[in-house]
Amino acid sequence: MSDSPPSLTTINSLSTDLIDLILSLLPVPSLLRASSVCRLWRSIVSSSGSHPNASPWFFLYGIHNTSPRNNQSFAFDPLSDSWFRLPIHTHRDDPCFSFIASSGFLFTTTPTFSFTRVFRNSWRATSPLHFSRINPLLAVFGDDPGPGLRFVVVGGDGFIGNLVDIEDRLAVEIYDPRSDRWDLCPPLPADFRPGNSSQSLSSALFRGRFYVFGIYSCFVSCFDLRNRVWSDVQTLRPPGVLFSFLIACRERLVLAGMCVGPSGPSFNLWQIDETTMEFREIAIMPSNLLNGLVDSEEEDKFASLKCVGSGDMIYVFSEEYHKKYPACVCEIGSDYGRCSWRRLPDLPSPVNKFHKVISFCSVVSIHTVLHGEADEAA
Amino acid sequence: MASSRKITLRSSDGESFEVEEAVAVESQTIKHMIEDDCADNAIPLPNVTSKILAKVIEYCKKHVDASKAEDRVNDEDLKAWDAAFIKVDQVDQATLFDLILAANYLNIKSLLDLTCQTVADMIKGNLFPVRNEWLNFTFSIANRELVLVCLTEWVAHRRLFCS
Repeated sequence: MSDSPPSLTTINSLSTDLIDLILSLLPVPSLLRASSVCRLWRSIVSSSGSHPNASPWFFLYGIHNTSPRNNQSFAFDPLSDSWFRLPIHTHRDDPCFSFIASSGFLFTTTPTFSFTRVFRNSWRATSPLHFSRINPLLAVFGDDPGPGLRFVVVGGDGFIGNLVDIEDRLAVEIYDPRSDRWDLCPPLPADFRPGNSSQSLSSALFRGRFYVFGIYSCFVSCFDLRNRVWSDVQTLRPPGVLFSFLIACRERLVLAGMCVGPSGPSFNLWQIDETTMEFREIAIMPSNLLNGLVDSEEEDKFASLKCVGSGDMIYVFSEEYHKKYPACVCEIGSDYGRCSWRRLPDLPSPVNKFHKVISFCSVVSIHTVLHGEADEAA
Repeated sequence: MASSRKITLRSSDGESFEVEEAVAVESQTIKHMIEDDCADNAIPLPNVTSKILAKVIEYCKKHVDASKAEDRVNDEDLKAWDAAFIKVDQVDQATLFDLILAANYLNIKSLLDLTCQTVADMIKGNLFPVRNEWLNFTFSIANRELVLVCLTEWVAHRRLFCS
């Protein structure tokens, strides 16, 4: 192959649509490199279209309770199949800083409720919640950016004066950034008690409804964001399921969870019909991958498995330090098509031991990286 | 209509190519022209030179032949043929971009995908040197390390995360 650069005039002779098509095939690191060649390439890359359907990255934030210097953050790019170490993230002077990630935003709920977009460390505090709480379920809905943007906060454990109260059913609250106001809505149905927090609930925002699912209880209900009502509580438990997570993918609701069947333990994915809650198995994690995620000496070896996903990817990983947080991913093909599993490469060393691991998915585009601090959030 | 009707295509420089209809309709653009009954005489393709049209026809012919029952070529072999067809030494860069433009104009999705992926691979494979004082690296560093530092340097410089 020739050493000389591809002639800039010829790639420039392509229409913007064609250039976008080519750039959409490149992972962010390649785009970053391409944009640093010279001003012309920089402008070609910066003005290319964004690809909201790109596969989401997988983020792991490790928090150390007493020594924040041991906190680490990592991001995995599925297109280039590589991990990146992110600079350490701190939030004011809070050494035990912890947050919730959802829909491309990060949130803290105590002592104040504040938020930032995932890649902009510009936290904004909101007016206080009617009911202060920790570990709620959170989602962002409405047009983003736009006047219709809203945050919805569901459940969580009451938190007043540093005391946790798990008894109350806390109202659902919806926030409008424009008016800085929280609206009260009916609380999570009582069937989910005890365990109203993200420790035992998983949530998925799908087609205008916020689904809440008990990871162990298998109860499911959805909150209609427009009419602000809860549906009846149903049970969603495919046979043999021990625990599972509800995930909103691009075209479908997916249930991902640990199952024990006649042929032994397996991690399965089911497609869920959003109205009837009928399930249909779409994938099973290969057993060699599953065994690679867990420590086979442990009694309850699968308990450390957690799962996040969006778009066309479902990431499954282990929260146990012992094996340095192994992970794998399932790429869901379109049209009920084939799902393909693969193991993620190891995290780049060194990897510390964490008390808490926060994980989430977010689409990362070259524009996120190049245009960093442009526009204000919401 | 699996007739072996011949269609005549005329390139921008006036050369005529006679092809089977099945090959011609690999191009959605030509397919629509035939359906709209504009194909009595030669179909003019003012945006495609004879050099490029010849290559496009070669591609379409191979792909039509590959899917015929009697002569079924398996996926691996077809992929290998595609790779050889597009190999950059054979196809100089100007031709590569002309093929992209032709595949786009003629609306031949598989050829468009093949050519765009080839350009993307060239960019990924660093066929041009990186010069940037912020990065402070020479080209010879292994891909992964360069990319790792590149991203974190860029991110740190942009103060995305550090408060």
